Amino acid sequence: MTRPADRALQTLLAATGMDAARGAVDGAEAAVSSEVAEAIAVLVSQVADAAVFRDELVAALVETQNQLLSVYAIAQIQTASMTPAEVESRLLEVVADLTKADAVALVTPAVTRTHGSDADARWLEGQVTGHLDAPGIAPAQVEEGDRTALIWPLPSDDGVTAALALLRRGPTDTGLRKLMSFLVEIVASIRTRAFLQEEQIRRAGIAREHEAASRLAQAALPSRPPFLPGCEIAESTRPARSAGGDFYTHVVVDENLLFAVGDVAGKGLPAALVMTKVIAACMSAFASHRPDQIGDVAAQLCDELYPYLSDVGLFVTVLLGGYVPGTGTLFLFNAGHSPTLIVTAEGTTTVKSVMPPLGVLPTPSGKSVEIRLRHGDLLVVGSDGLTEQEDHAGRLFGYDRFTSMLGPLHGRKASDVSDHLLRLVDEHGRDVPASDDQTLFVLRHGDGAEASPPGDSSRVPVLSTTTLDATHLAVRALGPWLADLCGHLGTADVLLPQLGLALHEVCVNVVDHGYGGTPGTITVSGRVDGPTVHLEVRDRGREFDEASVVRPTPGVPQIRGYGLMLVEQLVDSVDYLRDGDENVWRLTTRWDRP
Amino acid sequence: MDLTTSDLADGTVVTLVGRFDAHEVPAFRDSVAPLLDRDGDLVVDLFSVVFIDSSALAELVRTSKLAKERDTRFALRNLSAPVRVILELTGLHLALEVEDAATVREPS
Repeated sequence: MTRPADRALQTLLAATGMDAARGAVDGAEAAVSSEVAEAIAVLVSQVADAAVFRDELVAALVETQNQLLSVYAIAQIQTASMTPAEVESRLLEVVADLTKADAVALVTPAVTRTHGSDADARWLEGQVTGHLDAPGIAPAQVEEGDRTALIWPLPSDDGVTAALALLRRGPTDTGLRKLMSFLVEIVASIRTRAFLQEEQIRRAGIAREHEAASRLAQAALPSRPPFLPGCEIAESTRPARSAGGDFYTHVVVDENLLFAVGDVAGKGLPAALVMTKVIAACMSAFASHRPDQIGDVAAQLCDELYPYLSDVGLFVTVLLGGYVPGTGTLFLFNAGHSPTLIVTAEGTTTVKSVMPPLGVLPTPSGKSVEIRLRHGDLLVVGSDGLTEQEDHAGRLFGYDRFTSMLGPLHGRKASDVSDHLLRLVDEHGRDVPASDDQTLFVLRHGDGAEASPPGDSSRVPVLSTTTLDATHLAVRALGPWLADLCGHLGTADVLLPQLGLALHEVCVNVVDHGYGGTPGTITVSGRVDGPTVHLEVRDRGREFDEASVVRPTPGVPQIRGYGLMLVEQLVDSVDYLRDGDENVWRLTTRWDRP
Repeated sequence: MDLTTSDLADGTVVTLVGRFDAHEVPAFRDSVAPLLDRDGDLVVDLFSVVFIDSSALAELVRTSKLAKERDTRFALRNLSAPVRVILELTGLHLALEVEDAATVREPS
């Protein structure tokens, strides 16, 4: 007892002959009255209570101080710049420091980390492991000799599978256990954070690698179709995701064309990597073969690629072709690729597969087919991403529909055929993301400059699409465009100007009201089907509001409202619909209109 | 579109040649505005207009209204076929003054 109050009490007790332990009980034997003895006894009791209170207060202050220190120490751990392992090691150091432990251990199913001398660490690890094996884990205290282990389960999302433990020599107290339970919560949350960051970094890294690889893979595709007198070629591909497995490639040797259009099964990075390999193999095989040897090209590819493809577990559908523009001779070898179609004046036929896709069988089989194209005949090779494009209700575009579209396109320019087909697939899949790559290769025998073959013009629809800037000036280009579209219908001194004015009025309305003078584009498509002309005008301007139209009264002059009135009188029918974010105007008129 | 103005004893004749559409409306308006303040008639000759749209037509209506406010006589003359068609389809041949062939005064 060294405090002033204690000393004063001792002096008082000595002077009165009292015993602090017995207090007022022995008051009768003391040298003071019983009142004084009672008063001293009260003082003794009060001083003792104060001492207890003081000790409790100090302990609480220490605990609070420890917790503040631990929060500070742990906050210094920069999880963002450390690996999870580094974070865990640093946490153990901090915990050992804060708890004055002789050893600390973190035990998880994946790893055990310890801090402290080897002997202590091993003993502690043994205690924790034994404890984790027992069902129903809860905080525990194990004593052995002078060593005491405190074991705390680490909270985690997937049940308790880890523990934090510390070893202390000598007694442990409530303050330490409180500190420990507090530290366990912090350790658990910091570990979780560190692992989440690690996972994010890993995923971001993979995404970047995929992106870079798919750019490289797309770069392996030829940037433009081959230029070859006597034919026309349109090629296009649209990857569904960052990396695609569709491909085409071609070489021109001695004014002949060797080409391949294919699809690597699967999507994403693996498909893109295989695709570049297949393109390289095709190019090398093309270099040493003539068009009529396309079957040998197929055999070489099969031999070369089978071991590789079976290793990676992928296969490749491919149409291989050799084409002699001078004679219109086409040699085709189809290894499981669809749709592959020949369009002639007589109709559309499928080029049958003569071998399973590359990578399925180790030895080549099948023979190439030879086809003699006439002027205007088409070879159309698509990928399943086109025929299997879904609409919003999950309906496929369909192989049959794809095939049936082609007949009327016989004789048209390759780029027109391609644009038309892609547009129809787009319209079908409006608002639905493409589920697979979409690739289209169209070869038309005969130069675009030459006249189309004579045919029954009432049966073959004529198609054309043009896109203009939404300005009054640009709209003027529609006059010549329309004259070109309808030119084959013969001279029509009245109908052509009427239809031209109607189309002009619709487009000026789009410029003035749809876009309100802001920049935009207008896409105009035309189809002449027998004597009927269908025109479609699409724009992404403001939605047309029929209620805003001021209907003129004949004979009463007004400044607005004549445009639509004219259109209605100039064509057989005019319809408006809002399609997604597009305005669609459809005009139809018959050339034999009275 | 070409636009020429001829001064006559009893007013001004504006002769349009070519395509009169939405794109030409601002230029037409700028050229004709000062003519409205002149004395005498304002006549637009449309003999050589090969194409006309509703925006151009609306501008003719607008000009006729402005002329009326100023007590200026405004008339169209020598309608080409496209102009005649559009005036008839809109019924404006009844609302705008069109000089008939007998009264046409050739610009000198």
